[in-house]
Amino acid sequence: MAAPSVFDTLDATILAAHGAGDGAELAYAYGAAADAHAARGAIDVACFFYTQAYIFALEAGLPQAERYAAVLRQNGRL
Amino acid sequence: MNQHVTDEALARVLQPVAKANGLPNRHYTDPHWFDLEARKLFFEQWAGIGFAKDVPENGDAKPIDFLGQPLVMIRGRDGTLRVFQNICRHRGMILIEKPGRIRGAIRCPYHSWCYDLDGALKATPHVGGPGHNTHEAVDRDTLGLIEVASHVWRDIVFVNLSGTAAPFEQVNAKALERWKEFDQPLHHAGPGSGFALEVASNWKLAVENYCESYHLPWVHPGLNSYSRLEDHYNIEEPGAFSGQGTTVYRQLQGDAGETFEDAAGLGSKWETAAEYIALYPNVLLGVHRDHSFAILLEPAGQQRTVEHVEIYYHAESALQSDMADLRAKNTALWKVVFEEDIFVVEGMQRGRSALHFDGGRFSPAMDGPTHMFHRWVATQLAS
Ligand code: FES
Ligand SMILES: [Fe+2]
Repeated sequence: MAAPSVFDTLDATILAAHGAGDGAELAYAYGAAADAHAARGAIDVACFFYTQAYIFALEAGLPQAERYAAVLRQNGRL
Repeated sequence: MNQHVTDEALARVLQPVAKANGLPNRHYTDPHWFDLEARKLFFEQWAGIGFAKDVPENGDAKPIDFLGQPLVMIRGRDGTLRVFQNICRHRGMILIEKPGRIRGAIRCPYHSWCYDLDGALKATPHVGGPGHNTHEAVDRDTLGLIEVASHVWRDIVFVNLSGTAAPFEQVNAKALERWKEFDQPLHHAGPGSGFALEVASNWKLAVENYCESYHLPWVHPGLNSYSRLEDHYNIEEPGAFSGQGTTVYRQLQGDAGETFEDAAGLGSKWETAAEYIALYPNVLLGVHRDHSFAILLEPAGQQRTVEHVEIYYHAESALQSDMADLRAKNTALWKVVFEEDIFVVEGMQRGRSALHFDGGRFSPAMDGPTHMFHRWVATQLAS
């Protein structure tokens, strides 16, 4: 059995934030997952997570919404 | 009234007050007429749906069920209060379930399309496939929230859902003119300055009762002891509003003789005058030198009405903590008066199950304002 990866931890964080309905935490958790996927060059998966992060940040009025939007725009996703 | 009305009952309502009947039972008990009245008397008019004080800060939103129509009022970043249909442009999901503060954007709980406070569609996640957030077929510029024509007067939020009515200031020009001296800031003192009464009655009966002073000596004997029937006059503005006024208004006093400060710059008439009008269809207003109130009639069903009563002061000094007792006394006094009216509106509603009731007859001297409201109803329904 493989050791738990960074993605398993992020999944757990994301699920917990969904459970708590915590928008800011969701934006951070999705953003962290997106950055991790981007770091390993998985741009499609990263853009899925950046989208999630962007939407929750936008809803909560968090300044990092702009950073997520910028990455998506760079990749022709927004 | 030269209009040719083919409906016999409506034609009888449109007779001069001395001959007219009131609206017949069907307007209080028949669901078909309730639906027609929702359209003709509410959606095509300027109807009250809420209070601006309920969305005090930028970003505040409050959903409202307006005769089954899902609406939401939102105060924008620019401080402007707007009213929208409370639905997403994607699949028509209800957007906002509870009153609250929107920090950034309105996110639809279904597929998370996001809207700005002014209704603009800001984001459409995954609309072009996972991680792709645009699609050429989805033009964000044309898919903002659907705004409804709205206007705030005396803190009441009015809407014209159909978008076909003339501007609010035009439709209600006479009321605005009549009370222009009171066109100054209103101060609401919070939860203790409002209450809601639920009545088992059609909303029209609350209007009809509010308009007239005929019932005062019988239903409000306490009120009548200092504001006698002969000190009242009728207010009749055909097609717009009707009500009553008194020439002997006396200010409420506290134990130490304290009173609420007056509105600034009022004419001498208002030293002793107070006026009460029903602004058709569903807003009942009262003005006095030192305070005002508004009653929003929420038609929660054909035979169920919620009366939302809110009291406002004209001077900010009335909100001071040393005026709390007097404010509480004022709220309590009005509550007694409006509670005294409940048995008559509910009793008239039950009376409208009587098979042989013909709509009733009016006292030409005392019931003019009520008849005027019926004329307005009949005129709208016949058009
Ligand atoms: S219904 Fe609102 S996003 Fe789909
Ligand atoms: Fe009354």
